[in-house]
Amino acid sequence: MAPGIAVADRAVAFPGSVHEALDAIAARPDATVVAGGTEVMALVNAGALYPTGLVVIDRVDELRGIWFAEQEIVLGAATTCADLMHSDVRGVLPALAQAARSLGSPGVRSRATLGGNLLSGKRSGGVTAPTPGRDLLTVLVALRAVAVCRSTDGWRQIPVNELYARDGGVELLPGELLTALRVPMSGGPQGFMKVGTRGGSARPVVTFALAADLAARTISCSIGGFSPAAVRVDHAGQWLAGHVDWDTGAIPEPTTYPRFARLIAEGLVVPGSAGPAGWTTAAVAEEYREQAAEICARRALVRALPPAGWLEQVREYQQRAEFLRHRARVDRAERGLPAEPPVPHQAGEQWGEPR
Amino acid sequence: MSAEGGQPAQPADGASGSDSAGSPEGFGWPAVSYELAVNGSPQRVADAWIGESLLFVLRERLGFTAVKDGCGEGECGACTVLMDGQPTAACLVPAAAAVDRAIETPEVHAVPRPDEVAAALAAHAGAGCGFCLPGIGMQLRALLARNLKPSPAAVREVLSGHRCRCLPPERFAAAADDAAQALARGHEQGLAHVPAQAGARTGEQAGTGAGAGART
Repeated sequence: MAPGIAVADRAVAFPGSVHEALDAIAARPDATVVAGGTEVMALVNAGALYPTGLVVIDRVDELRGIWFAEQEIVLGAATTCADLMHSDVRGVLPALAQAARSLGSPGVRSRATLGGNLLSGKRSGGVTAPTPGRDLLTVLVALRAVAVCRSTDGWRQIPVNELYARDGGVELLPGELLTALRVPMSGGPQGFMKVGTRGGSARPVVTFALAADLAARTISCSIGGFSPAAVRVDHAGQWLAGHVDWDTGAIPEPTTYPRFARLIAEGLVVPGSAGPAGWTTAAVAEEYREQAAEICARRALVRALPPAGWLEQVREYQQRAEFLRHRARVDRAERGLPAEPPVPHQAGEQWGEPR
Repeated sequence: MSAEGGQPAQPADGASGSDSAGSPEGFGWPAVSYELAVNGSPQRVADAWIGESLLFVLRERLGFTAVKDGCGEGECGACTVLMDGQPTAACLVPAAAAVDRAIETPEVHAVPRPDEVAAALAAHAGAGCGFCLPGIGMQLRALLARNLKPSPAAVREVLSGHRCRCLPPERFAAAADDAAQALARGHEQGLAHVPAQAGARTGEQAGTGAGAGART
């Protein structure tokens, strides 16, 4: 059953390539472009959107998948969040994989796409949209990704943060399709933290991403939830770059963590901002937001760049514990006490025999 | 939404049968006709508005009422179905975009005889109202299809998208463990200790939805 035959009417178009998709959008400028549908259908179910036509692009193979090049990673715009959690992505873009995992539920992630996440929320000059959950944008802004848009006129490539107007609206030209995101390769640890409307994966209140480039010896970080679109916090990144021991990739001074977090939380007044892009499901007090940002920043940094000597401390502790186990075993054997404690036997647990 | 004997809703086929190529009169909403592959059999949907969700079409047009309508925004997980084997929130999929996808609803697994997952859910989580169970069942089937020995963390993670207001999550984790063991042991042994009635009653509130295929 070919897609075009299954739905005979033109109200729903199933393009098979980017060219066909652009033609379909040009033929019906009023149609709604749907990849996963998780954003569109939430609006439709709520009665906020009445689509007059659909252009379904989830069958366009050109838009799906991840291309690994030497200098950059290209992410297709219709790549699902479930694909972004794949171990390949986790290896090179751990923050993005983490952000994808923190989003929605497994049932949503199997359909929700990268492009849909970036283009969610309101259009430029449009009304406020109810779901401004652009978690992945925070990571892509920190990674200095470039958005690639295609229209019938040709390509347009802009830094991903310039895809948004000052009011947070998406500035996609009419008839244009976001095809891919180009992420420059930056070898180094990354961190992502999010505070949502509840525990577990949920809509974001505050998101924070941090990416260190070990070769260039720079750190860039960005924060979402305080301005219409996520913004880079360059002064904090530059300050932090001077406090990292770049030869070991660790932070020697423990007070760096709270100081960095304070720097993030204090620099949150973004000039020209008009508040978050749309209302979140939870009305959150500003103090809570600021505190959440501080904690997110600190934890993301701890995870990305652990304190110097941290690994040694862990190893030392493990050695001490191992020594204690051995000594206790010998001690009990000498005193003629039973080797096994009075607890139910568990598979894989050996109390008596030294391993 | 009734538990037993829930008649499938009126098929809306005849509602706007006057024209097939566009808007039903009086509304100006574009409608399309298409075929969905539900539980392995083709199901014809005629003159459906393009904005209808897969959940709505499955429940109201095709009568698969084991798929539950909870929140309509992907939060509660009650509408989870499998699309090409992937757990999917049916309320967030435009039904027209589900053409050519293999859709599985809880009926195919739990009616007339509950499978291992449904039986384990009936045994461990039968005390609740049961509204969330069909969705949880589909999610667990997707998990167990790719991993027969899921870690407790993996079980908790897939359950994170399902809201249950009756029971603590330990019940569902226990049900997942039981189902995994039953699946590993084999079909016959796994069902021996659970009465089939319990599964049909509380495990998956399927109603008579599975028979709807013959009717439409």
